[in-house]
Amino acid sequence: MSEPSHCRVKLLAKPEASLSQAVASSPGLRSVGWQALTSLTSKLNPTLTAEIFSSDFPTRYDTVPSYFAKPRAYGIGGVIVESGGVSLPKVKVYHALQPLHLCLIHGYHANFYGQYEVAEATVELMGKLGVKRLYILAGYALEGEPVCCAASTRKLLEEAEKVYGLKPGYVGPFLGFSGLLAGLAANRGVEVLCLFGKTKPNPENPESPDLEASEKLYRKICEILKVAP
Amino acid sequence: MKVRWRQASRGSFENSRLIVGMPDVGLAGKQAVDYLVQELKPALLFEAYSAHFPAQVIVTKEGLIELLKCELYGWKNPEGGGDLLLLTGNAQPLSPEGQHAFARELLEKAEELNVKEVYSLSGYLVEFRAPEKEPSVYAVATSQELLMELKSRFGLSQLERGSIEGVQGLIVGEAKVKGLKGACLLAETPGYSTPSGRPIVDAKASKALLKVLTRILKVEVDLSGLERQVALTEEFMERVSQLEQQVLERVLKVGRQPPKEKPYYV
Repeated sequence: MSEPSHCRVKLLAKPEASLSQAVASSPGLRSVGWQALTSLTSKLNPTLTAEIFSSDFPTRYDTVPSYFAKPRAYGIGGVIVESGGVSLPKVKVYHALQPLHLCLIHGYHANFYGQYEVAEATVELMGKLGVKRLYILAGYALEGEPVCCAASTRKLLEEAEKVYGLKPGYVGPFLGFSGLLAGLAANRGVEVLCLFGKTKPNPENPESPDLEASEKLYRKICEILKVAP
Repeated sequence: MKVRWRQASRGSFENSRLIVGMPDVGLAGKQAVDYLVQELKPALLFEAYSAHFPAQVIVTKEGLIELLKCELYGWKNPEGGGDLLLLTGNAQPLSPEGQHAFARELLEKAEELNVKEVYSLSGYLVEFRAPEKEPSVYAVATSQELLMELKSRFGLSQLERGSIEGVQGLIVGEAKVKGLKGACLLAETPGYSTPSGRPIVDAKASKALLKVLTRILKVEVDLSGLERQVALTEEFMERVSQLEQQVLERVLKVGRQPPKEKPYYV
């Protein structure tokens, strides 16, 4: 799947130790996973390790929800403005060495043509950082447990149920950056455990935060990582 | 290279016929090839991944995650009448360049496995198919000779004009460019989907395709395993037909009602 690369990886700081585990999320359904990852990042105060840029990163999409990009919906390019400053849209990769060696991946959705390339570049970087296990945080909108899971192997599913009381509950497509990261990492032998927090969709504003669902997901990932919430 | 081929096993094949069943309208072609894989138990030769597949993974009922992929299987014909290469998958590339690349690379792989003929299977969208009627099967071919043979020996109807979208069409076009014998077989299907847009498998159309294809290939396959799925398809279509009739009657009733107020501007 190698195409002419539209991706640039800018390394900013090299971790002093191998990072065996990673937690990733991206903007998505009611921002359940995104908010949980943001909370975890605030908690651990990590160092920015790398930024991944892509010419396929739009600032705005024509599709709703944004993570469901189609070939004819290219989105709109540009820079992100915040407090008067500008920055390119990017995937941000952090590392924390205390209390555990952890990589934190803040994903970004490329338009149709860049989705696989960006996810592959991220998986490549994870390999260089030594990541062996990846946790993905996201939302789901079905009846079921407050947090359910999916995994790359049956062994990991058994472990998730036995140790953390997590069961599968969502069946269907897992779209965009986070879904592809899970699939491509699993294909390279990384253990992948996806945690889905239950939420109610808001069709008018799909990414409006569901803070209650995020909090439950945040507490579950803290339990798994053995980090005080 | 827009497709990544992961080799699962090796095998040598003679006078191969490539059978392609990608996700299509009514999932007729895909289901037909899936059934052949289930019944013939061929060896998995390659898995194919493409950056032009939809950007998603599938979470299965068991809770496992799977990247979208296609699979190429090889089957040695014990009767010696030509082996089979079977291509199925849970996605096809969304973009035109992805579809062209996939069709070209698939044919290159098939040529390495001594392909001589190419058949793709697909649904053919019709507005209505009577529940009691067997789906008609249409054909397009790379040569007039083959088309005549398909019509006269197997009773297929000729598709006069139009286009066949996706890899199932392109693969036959590519076969023609390379001078290979090939045809696309299309079974009538109303192509129903669920309210959320997921296509519903039309097993009746799949069975119609397989009845013809197995005769063309001279390969015996027990199709009785499809019967339960065919019954489900028929039951579903009967219900949809009744619903459509009810809606039509209501629309006609409303249309026959006199206006509540007389027009004052005459």
